[in-house]
Amino acid sequence: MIGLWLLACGASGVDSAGPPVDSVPAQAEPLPPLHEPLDAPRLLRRLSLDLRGILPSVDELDRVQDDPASLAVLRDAYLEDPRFEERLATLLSERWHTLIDEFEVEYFDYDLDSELEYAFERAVGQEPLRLMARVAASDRPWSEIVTADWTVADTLLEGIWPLDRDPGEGWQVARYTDGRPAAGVLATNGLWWRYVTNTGNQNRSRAAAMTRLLLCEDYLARPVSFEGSVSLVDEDGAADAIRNEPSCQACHASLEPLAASMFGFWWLAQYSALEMTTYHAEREPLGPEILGVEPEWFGTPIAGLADMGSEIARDPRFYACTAESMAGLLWRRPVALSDFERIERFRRDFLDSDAQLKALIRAITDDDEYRAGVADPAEPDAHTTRMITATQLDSLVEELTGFRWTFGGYDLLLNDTSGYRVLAGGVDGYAVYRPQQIPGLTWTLVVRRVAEAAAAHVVAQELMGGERHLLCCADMSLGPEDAAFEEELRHLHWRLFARVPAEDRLDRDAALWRAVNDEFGAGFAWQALLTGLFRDPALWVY
Amino acid sequence: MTRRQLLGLMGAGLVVPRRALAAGTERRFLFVYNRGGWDTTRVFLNKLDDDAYDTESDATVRSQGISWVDHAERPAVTEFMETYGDRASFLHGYEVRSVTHERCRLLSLTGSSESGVDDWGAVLAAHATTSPLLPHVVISGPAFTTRYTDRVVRVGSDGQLGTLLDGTALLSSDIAVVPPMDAVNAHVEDYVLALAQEYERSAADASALSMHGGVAATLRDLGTLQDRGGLQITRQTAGCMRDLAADCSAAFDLFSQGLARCAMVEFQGWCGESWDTHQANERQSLHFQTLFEGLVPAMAELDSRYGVTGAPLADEVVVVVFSEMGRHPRLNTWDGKDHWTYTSAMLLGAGVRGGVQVGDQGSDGLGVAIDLATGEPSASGTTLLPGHLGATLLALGDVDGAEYLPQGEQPITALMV
Repeated sequence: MIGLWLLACGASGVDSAGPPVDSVPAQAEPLPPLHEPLDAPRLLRRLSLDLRGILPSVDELDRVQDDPASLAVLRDAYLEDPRFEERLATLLSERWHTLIDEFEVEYFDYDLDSELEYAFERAVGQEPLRLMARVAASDRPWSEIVTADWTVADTLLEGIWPLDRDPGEGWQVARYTDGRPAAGVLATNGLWWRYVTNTGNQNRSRAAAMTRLLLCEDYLARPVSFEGSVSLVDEDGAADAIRNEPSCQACHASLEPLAASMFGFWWLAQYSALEMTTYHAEREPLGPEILGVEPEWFGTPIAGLADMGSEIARDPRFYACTAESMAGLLWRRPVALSDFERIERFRRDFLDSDAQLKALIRAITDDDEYRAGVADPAEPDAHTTRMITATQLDSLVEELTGFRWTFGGYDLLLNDTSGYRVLAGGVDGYAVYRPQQIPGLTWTLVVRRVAEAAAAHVVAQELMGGERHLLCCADMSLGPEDAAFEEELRHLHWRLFARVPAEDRLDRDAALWRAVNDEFGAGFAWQALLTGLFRDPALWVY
Repeated sequence: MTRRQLLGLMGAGLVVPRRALAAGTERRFLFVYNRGGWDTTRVFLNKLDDDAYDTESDATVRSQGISWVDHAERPAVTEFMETYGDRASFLHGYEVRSVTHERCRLLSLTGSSESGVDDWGAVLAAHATTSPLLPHVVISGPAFTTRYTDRVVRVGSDGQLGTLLDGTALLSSDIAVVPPMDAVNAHVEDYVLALAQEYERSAADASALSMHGGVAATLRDLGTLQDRGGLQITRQTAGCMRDLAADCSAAFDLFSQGLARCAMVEFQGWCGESWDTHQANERQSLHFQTLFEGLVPAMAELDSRYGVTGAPLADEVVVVVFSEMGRHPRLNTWDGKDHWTYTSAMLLGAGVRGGVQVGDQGSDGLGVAIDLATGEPSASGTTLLPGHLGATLLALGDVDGAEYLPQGEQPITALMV
């Protein structure tokens, strides 16, 4: 929504070779502070959860406690952390919606073992997300997400798709060998398996998805009225209306030429792995033939997807949309028209950096709106707290305790077929488009079960002589009368909540431990206390 | 007469409604979503004499309470209409404004193409005056929420909510988990609830209050739910598909206990085949037959139940049967029908005027403008959108729709008693 406004007001020129160049000087005046910011340790916690999906280490918390100025240094270090790329892919999935649980081609179409069903679904959906995340993480201009002549792939995709993949573990740069154009995500199977088309639709829905995702322009948001004058029942009448009827032309004048450029991904059989695996360059001419228009990018003739990618890279709307959508993803709330001035500043910083996404993220996370800790009570719409959702829950708990909730090849916090992704506030990409913002019943239940499992795991591992992830000092012989017991509690509060506990809180923790210990012994007492700490809302609200 | 006018007369003691709401109750809503896009001309929309539409040559029009397209292949439809037709109304010719399933799902449930909105069920649930523990239960099917995410309780495609509630979820883990004992849990529950309530009391601003208040409220709700003996919503199958009647029954369980205001169930066609008949459009007949095979016992069960106040549950519940889109008037090359942006819905139950058909589709395939008050075609009337259906549901639920209907759609009062 804001994207259109930015375009109207941004007065950006267009450089023929790259991102647009602003003709309006950047405003130097800082915006007045909106809210009281979080203290440094808790802001670091927010940054770490947003950029890495895990909590900061005790050393990192100590560092910003002693020197709040080191926040920026640590934030920049997080942007270089290997986990940033994965976290960014996850963040982008909330908007690109490619991590769905079922595609029109299934694992068995490739004769994959049933245990690979989940890995297959996620690999396909991750392809475009990982490509974008790789562009950002490796400091390439964001325009490469629509111009790159490469994609990324894991070994599973390498084994089933026509890919020449660089050697190595995990996600590596790969190139399709089926002659598809260089167009970044626009040339990935993962994107177009998610956004399918059919004989009636003829790539129009894909064109509309592309403008929605990359330009923040939604054709369906355009006010159109047919006024009963259009005959759509017979095929010729519909085709004629699309070309000549003003109410139809309002959208189709630009939509049809975009769709016409996408017929290399036109699959003759919708559920055929053979058809959907490869790009069909020989079908590119079908676009003009079927739709009766030549490929164009909003009036500029293009020769196909590669040209389309280049045009997007030159389009000011692309950068405005990126700034708007990244702000929403990091603010963890929908963007409003009142956010325009801030987003415009982010956009300028983004363009000033040769359109590197890390610069945009720096601009957003340096801003008062991101750092908000406490708002004026008179502002009921201020958004000073965020809630951890499924993906963060998954990565946070594993890093903290070593426990990852998997079963039968599925990550139970990251899927809906047999898991709890949506129930834990996540996005399924199909019927749930935005992460949950306020705790609900199923979210609370998932947190409870994860806390119970993680606590049981910590006791079974760390208090029984195994490797330590979380605990510093506890052992089965300690009780509240021991100094090391309190030391453990202080350590846990700092690590989990970035807070120094008050005495009465320590007393409350000890009371829980004692109550369970008296009845069931130390093992259950630690399990209960850890479960309680893991369920403390201070852990899940950031 | 609009509902407000009627209520005004009731307040003056001039009218005694057949189905007055008992004190302390409110209307509840069951959404039956038919995934894939149905061919409305097979049951709801009579176009047997319109050459612009490809219809069944051996179908007839029957009238008993309401007029419908009848066919020997669909005895369950016949039974339903003969039994409940006088309580049902059909809304025809509203334009979803897209022809892709996903976008139509969003549009038909919210009236908007924006993803940052809440669907009718969530809005109605958010405005529940009886504070149900599970405001909008998604037993199966879609739910779009942004502002009211905390009001929506998803059961999960495999009944995951049940396993979370009873703790058996932890038995499905590659890393073996020893679930905590109930007696230990009791200590932890007290500890966590006390913490949450403390955070709620000390919240420094509206955002923190919303967050911590949400945690505290759900913890209290879970405690209440546990005290009531938990929640039994299990996935039941009928042969090769989900048991629609059982899903509806689960919703009525929740309604009758006052636990929920809204529920969503999804019907994917016979054996989950989907209503999306780009080929072999005759499968629509089987899908309708199977749908109504579920709806007949569901309605019978609704009529046999009572709400929390002891009044018949049927006096509280509105049933909305809909699909995300319609199908093209004409058959395509493969004897299927492609997507069509105009569709129909069936409403019945509390507050719905029975035996009524509102709206139409013309020979051009487009929706016909109507007078919202009379339901009659009117050249100067209103072209129907999903927002009009939404406005009607919100009005039936006594929710001011202005905030949720950016295009200003008004209720179709012709559908309301």
